Amino acid sequence: LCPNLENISQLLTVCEVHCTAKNKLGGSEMDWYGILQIQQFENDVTIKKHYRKLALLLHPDKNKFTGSEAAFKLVGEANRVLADKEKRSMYDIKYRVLARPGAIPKTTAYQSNIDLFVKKYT
Amino acid sequence: MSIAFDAKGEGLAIGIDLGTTYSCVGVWQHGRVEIIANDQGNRTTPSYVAFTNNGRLIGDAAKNQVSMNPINTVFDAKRLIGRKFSDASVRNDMKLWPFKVRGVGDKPMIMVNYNNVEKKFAAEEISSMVLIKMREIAEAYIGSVVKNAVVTVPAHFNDLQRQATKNAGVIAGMNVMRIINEPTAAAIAYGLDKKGSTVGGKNVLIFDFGGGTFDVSLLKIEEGVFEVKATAGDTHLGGEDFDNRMLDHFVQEFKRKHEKDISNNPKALRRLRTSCERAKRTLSSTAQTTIEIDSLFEGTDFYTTITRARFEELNMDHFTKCMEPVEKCLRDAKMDKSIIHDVVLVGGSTRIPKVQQLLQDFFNGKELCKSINPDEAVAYGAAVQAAILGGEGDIDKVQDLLLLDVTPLSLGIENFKGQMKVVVPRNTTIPTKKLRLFTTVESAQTCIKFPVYEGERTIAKENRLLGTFKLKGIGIAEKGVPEVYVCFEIDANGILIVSAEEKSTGKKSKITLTNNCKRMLCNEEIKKMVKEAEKYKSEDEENKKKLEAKLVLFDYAYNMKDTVSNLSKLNRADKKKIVDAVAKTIRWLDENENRLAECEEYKDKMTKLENICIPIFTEMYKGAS
Repeated sequence: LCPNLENISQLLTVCEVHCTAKNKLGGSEMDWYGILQIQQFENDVTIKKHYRKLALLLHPDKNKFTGSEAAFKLVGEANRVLADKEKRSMYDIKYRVLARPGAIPKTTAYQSNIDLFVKKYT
Repeated sequence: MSIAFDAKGEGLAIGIDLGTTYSCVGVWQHGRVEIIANDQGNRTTPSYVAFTNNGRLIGDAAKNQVSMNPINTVFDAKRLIGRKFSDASVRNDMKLWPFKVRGVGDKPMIMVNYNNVEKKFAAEEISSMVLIKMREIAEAYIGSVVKNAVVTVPAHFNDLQRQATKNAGVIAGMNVMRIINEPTAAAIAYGLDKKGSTVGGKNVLIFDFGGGTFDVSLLKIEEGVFEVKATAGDTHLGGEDFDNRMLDHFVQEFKRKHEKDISNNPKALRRLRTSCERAKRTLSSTAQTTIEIDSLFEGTDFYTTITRARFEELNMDHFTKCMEPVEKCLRDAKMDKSIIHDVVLVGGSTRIPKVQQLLQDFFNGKELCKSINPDEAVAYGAAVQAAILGGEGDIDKVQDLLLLDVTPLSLGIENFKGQMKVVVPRNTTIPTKKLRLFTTVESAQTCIKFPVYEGERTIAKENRLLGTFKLKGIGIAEKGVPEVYVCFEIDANGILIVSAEEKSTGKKSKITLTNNCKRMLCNEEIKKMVKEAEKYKSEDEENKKKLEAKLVLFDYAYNMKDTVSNLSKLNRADKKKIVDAVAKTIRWLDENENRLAECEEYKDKMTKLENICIPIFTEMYKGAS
């Protein structure tokens, strides 16, 4: 489509991560699953795979856009929580309560942010 | 299009392994890494700097003259860099160094005599001289100016030591694109050809045992991503410690045999040390070797033998100590030794058979990986990383390679009970950002002090203090009410920035801590050192010019002497005139053997000599024709 397509995906990933980070579960808890762009019941292998994919896109060595380093830090933290069985089960307890349908209209907020972004840049 | 230049057009980026005893430089060119040989043809260069009355020498030239000039030849700067003068390790090392180290405000300074003037240098300055040398080696090979470099440090280097290494790069006038860990660099060298070849990744243990430091790192290599899982080691254990043990042993033996104590004679110690290093290397391949030094001390010769068994016995505690970090690393990574796919040997000291045997026994007889050159692997990996960072993106081999490194030590803050509150646990992937909530311990407290520590002990004082900063102007409130967020940020170089922010009263105040410790160099000092480095460089060039002028004069004088003695056509008076003038010049040169005169002086002497010789010869040839 466009010769700089790869860079665009880098830029988009940075934005996605930051948007997800802004929309905290219940207003206070980070949505680590959302940041790693996975569902809650994914297995370890998928977590690792997504982490690696995002790391390759976001690491400041690979991604020169502003905010890439901050986004990488968030992804790193998400991986630290979710890749550790103990930490993940602790987090899951909180997650189940906060991410209950109807508890917080989190997806809409996330969507609207992306819409805003798309409007602004397209 | 040339792939040899990066996007900014700043030329190639190089990788430098800045070692305790030896350094090595590599560059990514034509789709592969080239380890560059120095002007002597050696692929590693001693990290030595010598100061003489005829200028400054770096590398092989410095090490070769070390026995003649032991007190002004500096080595082991890496063992001083980023350390305090009061550190126990510095105290111990000083006893073994022939050069003088003095504490200036708890910063160790190396004292040397340069051009008959007493000079003091920081370890960063010595390291910067080695870096300059490595860059020159690379520039001579590449044929263009090099500005950017990736420099390696031991994985276990703390924040101050990393900062100081980076400063050494600044002083050398280089842009240090990245500081990477040595075992990680070695892992790149090992894994570059193997990426993608296995499904489910590979667990690799890098055992990096060099001249001055020892590091163990555990990595997972999967689809081009090199993820460091854990790292451990000893910043002060290496080949030189074995040399020192042997040195001690022979000093005792000399005392026993000849009833003479050589321990206060730097020259004798240096000669013995050089022999010890050689003997140690030999013992890796033979069971016994000899040491022969003529007239070591007060005319007494020293001939002796040492067996491998004896050498191993002298260093056994060092060797067994090496296995602790291996265990710690596995523990931290929560891995069992049975799931390690490869154990890779890096660094010269891994050639010692006993070390290999202990390691192999630990891994239940597993075959050790020796496929990479232990002396060059680190520079190799640094060169690959330099190519990645230099944006040589069109190289498929490095394009989808990513290095995920970790913090070697836990970082935290001392609370009011004197405990260490860890904010960033060790082995956290970097770059990273961690927030932690703190509050006041007294009512109406308006100021909080944050001492930042690094280490694994629960009592903060037992860890290493990196620096202290204060947050003032906190709104007056009950104790425990103000919410102060302390933020630790570590960039990809592993360099730390700490800030604090108070939100409870809606008022914000932020303080940033960047190496404002007393023992670190401030920007002013670095600027001064950069200027001095440039001065030294121009002095080197000046000296080179002087030396050239001297040699031209030398050549001319001896040429004339030769020519005149073979000429029969010349009349006696003219001949005498030339012979006298030549003799005078040679006498002057001899008198100034140990001193370099100004360029003008040589040129002046040259002109005088020419003015005598040329007219006589012109006359002679005219007469002949």
